[in-house]
Amino acid sequence: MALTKVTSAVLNDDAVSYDKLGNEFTTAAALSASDVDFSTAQVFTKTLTANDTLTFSNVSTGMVKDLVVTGDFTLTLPASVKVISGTYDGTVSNLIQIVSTNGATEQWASISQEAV
Amino acid sequence: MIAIQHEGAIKKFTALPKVWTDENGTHLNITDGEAFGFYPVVMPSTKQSEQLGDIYFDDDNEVFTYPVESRTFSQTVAELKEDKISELKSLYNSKLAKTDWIIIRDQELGNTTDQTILDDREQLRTDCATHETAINAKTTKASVVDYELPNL
Repeated sequence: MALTKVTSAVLNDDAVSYDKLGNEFTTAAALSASDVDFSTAQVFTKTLTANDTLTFSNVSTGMVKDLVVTGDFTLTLPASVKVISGTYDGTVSNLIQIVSTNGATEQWASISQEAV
Repeated sequence: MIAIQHEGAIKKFTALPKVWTDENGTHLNITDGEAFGFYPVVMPSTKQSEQLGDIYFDDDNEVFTYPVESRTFSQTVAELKEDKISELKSLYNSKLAKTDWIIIRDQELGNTTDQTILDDREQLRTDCATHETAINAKTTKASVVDYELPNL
């Protein structure tokens, strides 16, 4: 099949609207299991009911994902995650933003909570 | 204080770290430290003649602690006694100095010094002499160093 080069004739500048973005950029998914599949949603939510270990899959450099996690238990992220700011507070909802700077090898995380 | 054995070394913390990364992952909100290898640090009490060695994990009691080792002293027993007695006399001298002005005043003015003051000062000199005798009776460096001077 011949490839179509994306030119202005095919896709105008500034023509990619939010609606045209894939689910991985626009949806929130509740994590029932422990795997965070970076290709499936932008925001992942989870309420811990016990200590839990999350794994990451389909991570590519430059991806930014948001985890919204509650529950006063120990949350373990992959060892490739380096926390750069914030601490997890089990008594409130936590926004853990993950940025991949080297595929599955290295991600940086910042943790924050609602200001009170 | 707590500690953990990690990558061949023992790391100490004042409290459970908010974030801890090991071979199993990056852990947030650790509540059960022992599940991750964190155990309390127990500081043994030491006498002045002793010191703490390198921290180690006590398997039997599941705590990090330190061996208590005897200190070595370069001075002789006689020299240590001399130092201890000097410290002793300094203590009593300071205590006596607090009422020196009364003695000087009374001598200068020809007053009769309050007997309580005189008795207290005499008691201080007696106590000091008793301690000095006790220190001189010690035969080992450790016993001299560990001799507890009074808290005047």
